[in-house]
Amino acid sequence: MKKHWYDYLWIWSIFYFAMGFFNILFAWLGMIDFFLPLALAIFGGNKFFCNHLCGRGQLFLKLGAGLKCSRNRPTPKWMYSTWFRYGFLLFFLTMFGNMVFQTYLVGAGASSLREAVQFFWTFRVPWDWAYSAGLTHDWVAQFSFGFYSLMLTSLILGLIVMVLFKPRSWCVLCPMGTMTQGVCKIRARGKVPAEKS
Amino acid sequence: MQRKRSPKYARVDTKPCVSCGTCVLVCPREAICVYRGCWALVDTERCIGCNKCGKACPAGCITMVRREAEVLEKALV
Repeated sequence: MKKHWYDYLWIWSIFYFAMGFFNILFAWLGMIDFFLPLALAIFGGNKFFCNHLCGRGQLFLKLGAGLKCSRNRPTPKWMYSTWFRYGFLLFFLTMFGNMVFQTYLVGAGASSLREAVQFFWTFRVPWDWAYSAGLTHDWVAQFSFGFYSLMLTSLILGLIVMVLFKPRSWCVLCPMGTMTQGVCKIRARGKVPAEKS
Repeated sequence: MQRKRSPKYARVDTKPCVSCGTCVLVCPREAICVYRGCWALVDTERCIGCNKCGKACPAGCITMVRREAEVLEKALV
């Protein structure tokens, strides 16, 4: 198949996490991965981001299929069931909302900046080398730490399911994928034949 | 010369399909696409039944079916 420029976005995925390691403010660039899929789904009625632009999906395919890091076992049925996918989406959105609230508290002066990255919303790891105090408003930095935590947690989750199951098993869990597919289905109602098994 | 059709083709179970597009990336014949972001759709004429999509699909929703089944399905619809 002909190669396009966007077939190399797995490099961007590596670059993003590497940049965030050294300067946490780069974490804001991850908002592209948040808004672009939604914009394409809402205004374009498609999942072009998931299908072609997702650097993370490409990275998992490269590692899992290309470098044979995946066991290639079937993903458990419960993992791609509707209730689990939407439940996981709800959980992720709740955690995202909590992160935004923490950012607000820092911005309002009710909380101090926490220069740490949280893995799996639980394990706090100091990350103070990645930010110099006073460089920007504290809430900007707080959001960076929070968002990078979220992105890193989902990357690790994706790597785990990539190794255990199929290379792109993360796609069945991915909250952005669930959201954008939901939007596309609503948009396409009446224009596509009903789901069939 | 008319191309000989493969004995099998891919069929997508649309209910579990998460429309991730992995099948599109691995298909050597561009015989599968993601329709309106909803689920994968197979062009049964182009499909050669290689099962690369089935093996790659993380939701396990692609199976290979015999072409006789296709004729039966059309008759039943």
